[in-house]
Amino acid sequence: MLALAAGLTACSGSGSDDETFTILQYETTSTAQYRGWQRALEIFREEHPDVEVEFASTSFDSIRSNAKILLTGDDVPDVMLVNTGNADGGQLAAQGLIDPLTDVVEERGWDERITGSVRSLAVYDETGHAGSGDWYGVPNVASFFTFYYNADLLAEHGFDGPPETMAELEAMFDAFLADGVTPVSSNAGEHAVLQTWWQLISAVADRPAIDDFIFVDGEPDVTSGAFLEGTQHLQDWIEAGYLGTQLAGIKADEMERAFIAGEFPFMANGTWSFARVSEEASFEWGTFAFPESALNAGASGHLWSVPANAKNKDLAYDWIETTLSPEVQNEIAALGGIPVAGDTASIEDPRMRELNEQFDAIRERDALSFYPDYPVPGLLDFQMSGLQALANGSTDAASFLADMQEFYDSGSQS
Amino acid sequence: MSTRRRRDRRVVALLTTRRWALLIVAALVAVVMLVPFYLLVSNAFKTGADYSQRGPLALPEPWTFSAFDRYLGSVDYPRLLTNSVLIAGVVAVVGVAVSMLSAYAIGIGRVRGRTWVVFVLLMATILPQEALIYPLFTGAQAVGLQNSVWSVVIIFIVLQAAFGTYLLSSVLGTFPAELLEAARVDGANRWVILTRIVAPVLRPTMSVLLVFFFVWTWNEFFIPMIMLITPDAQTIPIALAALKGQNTLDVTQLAAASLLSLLPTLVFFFLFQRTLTRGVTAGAVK
Repeated sequence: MLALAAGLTACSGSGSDDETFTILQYETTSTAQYRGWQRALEIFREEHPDVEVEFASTSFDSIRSNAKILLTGDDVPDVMLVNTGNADGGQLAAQGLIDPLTDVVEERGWDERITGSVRSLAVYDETGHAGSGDWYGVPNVASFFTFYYNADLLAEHGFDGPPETMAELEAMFDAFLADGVTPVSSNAGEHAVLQTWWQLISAVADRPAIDDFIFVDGEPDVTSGAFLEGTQHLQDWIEAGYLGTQLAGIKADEMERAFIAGEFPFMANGTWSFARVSEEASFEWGTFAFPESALNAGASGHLWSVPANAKNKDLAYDWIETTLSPEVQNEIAALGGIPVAGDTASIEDPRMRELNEQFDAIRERDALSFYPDYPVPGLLDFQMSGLQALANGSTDAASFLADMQEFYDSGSQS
Repeated sequence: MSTRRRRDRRVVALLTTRRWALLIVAALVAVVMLVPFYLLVSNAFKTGADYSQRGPLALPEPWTFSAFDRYLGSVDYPRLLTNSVLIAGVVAVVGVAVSMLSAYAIGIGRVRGRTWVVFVLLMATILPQEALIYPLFTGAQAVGLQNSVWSVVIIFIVLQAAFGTYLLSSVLGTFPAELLEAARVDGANRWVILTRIVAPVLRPTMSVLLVFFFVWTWNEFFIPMIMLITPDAQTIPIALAALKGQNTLDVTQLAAASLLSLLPTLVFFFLFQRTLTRGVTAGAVK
């Protein structure tokens, strides 16, 4: 009996002793989640003192192109970050390279904290389509699209706060234009105009229309309804000059830089700019959600997934549990991130609290509308070039959408 | 007499103008080539706020090492440097040796089917690396070298040597037959001919090849990115790429990191600059 027990201990001991527990991630070191995970690492190491933990970092592009090769091997990480969407996480799930986690998620109660549209991109069906099926990963953070404003510039032009309605917002845009100031810092060289476009569609769309399009359900019509209205709205903004005249040549870095330099009163961009603006801007500023919007562009972040060939799966679940713990989640919020299961009331910085309150409101209304390139591979490039054409006036809303319908249909049928 | 002197003076004046014009053009070209370097250096020493508020073109105000601190705090730079130098160094030396041996067989030994061998080698260098990556990865896994710098070393020795063999064998194809004949008459065997006759004559070419192999391997990105996963196995270009996030980019940190990755290549270049120029012009005066 004693010998058996000793044998068992030796066995389990050797299992975790000579194996290193490897975590693979690709967030850059300046992000709130990366810094939050350093806290998670400390906690995890305290809880598992006999486990050798390796926290490995690679790049987003590397995982994007190599995840499949990496996961077919024997020597895979024990837990890794995976990109959401049908083309990335969905494919890995469908090919059996990452494990379904539904049992673990239910057992540990993660599904009580991650619900609705925050959950949608964590579940994939057997063909790898997001929106329904088994859990294949667990998100830690979310992002959404919002407005940043320069309170000093607003005051200088006679406004004492951000607008409440779309009409007020556009009246402010006109006032700035009349004073010779381009109102919104944006770019079409990277993704800001794309997301502005999607936000303007989301503003007038309902849940089924968005879900059908994103999760390729039925035969979505993108040439009418909210799609047409939102695209027309963007075209109006472009023609009015709200977004500037040189959009196509501008990249994200230049857009943020110009806003931080105080050249624009507004910037429309994702919450990922928050940390940089808060570190570098020398004026009074704040954020406000697009006014009067039914839904809000945004999504849960990358997923912690467990590779099918991983050797320390129980430890992997413990790691995910640690990253979802109140301590780590609140740390991420305190660092300017948007945790999926944080406690907003505990955030001390007023701007960070405000941003997280916006997210809480979106989550309560179940109003995340994701990002527009998710459904079909190649859609991002198509939309980017289409919107660049829209930005320089060589196409209009209706013909852009007609082309997109064709692209979407042929992409979703194959 | 006087007309001649006047004409001479005019010619001298013309020559001086032309020389000045050349100098100005050269200076302009130099400035154009130095601008990227200026951007790199000036942005590397800025704070993030300074970069954002005063733009990428301004000089730092104040000068700071904070971007370097951030980079060096997030990566194990000595480790990256060791990996890069090890990979590029071993590949350069062994690659040249392998190229020389096989080129000797093809160019001097004139083995049967040499045209086809050279053709196949050329094809190997033309093939896109994306087409090779799956077999290479599976192979590395099979021999237990995945995530090891030696997998990359072996792959690039083969790839660079394929090009080196192609190049050297065509050079050796025109090697003076009299030299070989004389050596044979003196009783030299193949090994002696290779080491005492052929290698010394080709030394300048081999040095250039060495430098090229080093720099090419140093800059390699795709295969190392896939083969080397954990930070302790990665090379400098891979660590650089990891600085770009999905939506975020820390420009000053990227500039500092690029500057740090540039320095070793610069040192290498200055060390071997004379070899390089000698090699390129070797044979020009013969």
